[in-house]
Amino acid sequence: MPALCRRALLRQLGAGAVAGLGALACGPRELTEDPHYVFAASSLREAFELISRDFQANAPAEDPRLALSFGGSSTLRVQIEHGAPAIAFASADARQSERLHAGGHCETPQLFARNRLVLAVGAESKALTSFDDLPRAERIVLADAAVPAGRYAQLCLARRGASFEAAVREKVVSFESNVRRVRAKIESGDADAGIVYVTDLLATPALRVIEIDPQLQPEIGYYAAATTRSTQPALGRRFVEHLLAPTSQDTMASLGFGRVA
Amino acid sequence: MSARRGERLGLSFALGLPLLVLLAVPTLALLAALAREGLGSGLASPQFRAALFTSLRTSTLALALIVGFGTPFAWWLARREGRLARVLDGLTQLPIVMPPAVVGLALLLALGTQSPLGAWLDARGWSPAFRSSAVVLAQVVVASPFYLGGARASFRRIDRRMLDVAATLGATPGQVFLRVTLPLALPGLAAAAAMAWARALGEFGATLIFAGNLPGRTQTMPLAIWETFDVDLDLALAASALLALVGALTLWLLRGLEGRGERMRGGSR
Repeated sequence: MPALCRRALLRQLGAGAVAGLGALACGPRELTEDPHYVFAASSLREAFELISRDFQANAPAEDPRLALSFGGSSTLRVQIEHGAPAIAFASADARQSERLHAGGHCETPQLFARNRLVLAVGAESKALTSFDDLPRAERIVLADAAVPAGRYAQLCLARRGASFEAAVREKVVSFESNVRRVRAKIESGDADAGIVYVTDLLATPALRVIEIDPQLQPEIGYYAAATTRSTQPALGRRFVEHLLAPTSQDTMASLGFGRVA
Repeated sequence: MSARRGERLGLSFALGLPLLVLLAVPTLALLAALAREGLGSGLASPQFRAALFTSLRTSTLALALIVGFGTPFAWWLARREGRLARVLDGLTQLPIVMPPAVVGLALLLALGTQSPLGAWLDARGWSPAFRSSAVVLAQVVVASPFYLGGARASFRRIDRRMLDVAATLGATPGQVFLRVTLPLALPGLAAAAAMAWARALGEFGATLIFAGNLPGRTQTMPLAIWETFDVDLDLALAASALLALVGALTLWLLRGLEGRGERMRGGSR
């Protein structure tokens, strides 16, 4: 009786679909209660998880729930411009927060942390002892110039001189879309050396750190601002202020960031 | 299923072997991660539990929309031969060749607060961007071409004479569609739906841009894995294995349905 069987199967499928959709329409409670999001650059993840925990622990009980959303600074900026529900934005470079401010989407950005570049070297590459030795590395990995870490690395190499930059560029085997992936390539042995933030290396004792001369360092600042379309402007502003509080500055300093207060 | 004599199946297999190895490598790596970490660590993390729920919820809703609207449209595409049908057919397949991030950006430009439509929706509190409805929309756009393509092909395979016979026996067009066309096409529709669902479950690029990476709201499994990847590779791998397992189980179930459908046809082909 194939026809009957087919109809039964169709009916079964239909009933299953209805039951399933019903179950999906009402989710667990904690998901329906809307948190308020702080948008932050990926490199701030460890610091912001600690800082937001501290912020919420000391906040009044009636405060709404805070959550963090991490991504590339420029992606987050574009999303806020198009209506993303961020109450504050923390960017890994001045450029993105300035653009957001210029468009009227956030208040005046505040400098809340600094960073600096270092040379990360794999444990086996003993030949490299200073930044000047970099052209002697076999395989170099850098962040792509489209992301802040790549742009800073480019600035740093250019300051050292055109011939140095050219010699280094010859040895570059990969431009990564994310500074953490630069670190990962050196860790895995796919590259000998790369330019990363000092904050990327704290949790990675396997890599050797070679300091880069302060004169070659570009200005690396992290900026935060409350957004203007925010549903919780006061909460956003308080979070930005909290970034400058001594406890937050201590937290960031312990992760390698430079203090601003 | 035994090979006919004279067919060079051994050679075909040998030529295909590199591809098989390449396909097996990531699966084996995931299985190794699963053996090392266990399913527990993926499930124990509240972030991944929430993300898995978001993923299952959004991809199922997306599938319901795709099948609900896509089945009649695929039928229309299968029966129409004109230029309009050909153009529309091409348009529906376009998202397959577009990078998902571009699809996400296009959705954001079309429905974000900067577009007239998005602003109008936003003023009424209906803006879909950066909500779970954005996840569903991104999944529908990226996955529906797979369903439409498969469903159209499945409808085209139906012998038209069967439909004519049903009509001459007095069935109304509606009855023909529900009692003859749909059951005959069902195995193909199920396979196409499985493909579309799997694509929706794995959707990453369009979701990241259009829905944002908002934990507890729009963060699906692929987004949570991407975010964890830089911090805890092993946890990200365990979660990937979990996702792969859920996906494999569902595909297996759907394949079972498809097989059941085939058997019902009683070897009519």
